[in-house]
Amino acid sequence: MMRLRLSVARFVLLALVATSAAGCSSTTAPDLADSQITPPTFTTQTFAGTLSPGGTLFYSIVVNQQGPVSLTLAAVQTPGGGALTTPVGIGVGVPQATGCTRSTSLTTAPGLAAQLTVTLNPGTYCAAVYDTGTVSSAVNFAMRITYP
Amino acid sequence: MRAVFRFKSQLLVALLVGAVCSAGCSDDETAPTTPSPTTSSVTWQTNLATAGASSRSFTTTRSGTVSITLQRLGTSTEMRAGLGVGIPLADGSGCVLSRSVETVPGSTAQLELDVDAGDYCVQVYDLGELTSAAAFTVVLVYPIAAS
Repeated sequence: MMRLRLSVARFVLLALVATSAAGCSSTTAPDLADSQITPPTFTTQTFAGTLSPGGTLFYSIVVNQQGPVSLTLAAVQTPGGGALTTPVGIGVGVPQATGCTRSTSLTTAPGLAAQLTVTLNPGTYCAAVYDTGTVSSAVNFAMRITYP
Repeated sequence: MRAVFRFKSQLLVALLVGAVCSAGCSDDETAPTTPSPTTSSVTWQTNLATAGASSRSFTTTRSGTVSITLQRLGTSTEMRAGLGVGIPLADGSGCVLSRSVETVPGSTAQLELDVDAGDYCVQVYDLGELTSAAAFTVVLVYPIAAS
C-alpha cells in the first residue's frame, strides 16, 4: 500500500516537472491563418488642379482591398505659386454620372498630415475638392490620396 | 523507510528542476540597447539664383513634426528669402508648397509643420531681394521610424 502511494506520488511529481518544462517555452507555433494575411499595399497619387469660385473637382480611384483611404489637402496656392491657408472642402464619395456624390467630407486648411481618413471596401470611389465659399478667385491646389 | 527517503530525494530534485525552469521562463533577458534616433537632421547647402528657387526632397517614415531653419543666406543677416515646405509633383516638375514664410536667416526654426509618413520637399526662393546668386544653408529635421 505504501509502495502504491509512493508510485502515485512519483507520477504526480513527474507530471508537474513535465508541465513546468512545457510552460517554459516561449516559442509560438506559426498560425496558418496569420501567414495567409497579406498586408495591404497602398497607392499614393497627387490630384492637382485649379479650383474656381463655387467649383468642384474630383478624381476617381479604385480601391482594391478594404482599408483606410486618406486625403491630404497639401496645398492651396495663388496662380503664381504662393502658398495660401484658405480652407476648402474635401470629400470622398462615389462617382455618379458626371459628378461625385460625397459620403464623407469636411472643410480644411491645407497641411501635410491627412485631414480625412475613411475605411472603404473594394470599389470605385471619387475624391473631391470643392469651394465652400472661401475661394474668391481661382486657386491651385494639390491633394495627396492614399488608398489600398 | 528507504522508500520514503528516496521519495523525499526525488521531491527535492523535482522542486529544483521546477525552480530552474521557472527562472528560465522569463522573457526579460535582452540586453539594454541604445535607442534608435527618431528624427533625421540634414544640412542643405547650395546656391539661390536671382529670382530663382531651389528645392530638395526628403522622406519621412512616420508621422511627426518637420522643422526647417534657414540658417544662412549669403553674407547678410537682413536679407529675406522665401522658405516653404510641400509635396513634390509626381512627374518631378516641382515642389507644391503647403506652407511658406518670408524670413531672414536665423538659428530658430522658421517653419514647423506636422506631417504624415511620405515624400515632401523644401524650397528656398528669392523674394526679389537678391542682386546676385547667394549661398544658403537650411537645416531640416524630420521624423523617421526607429529601426
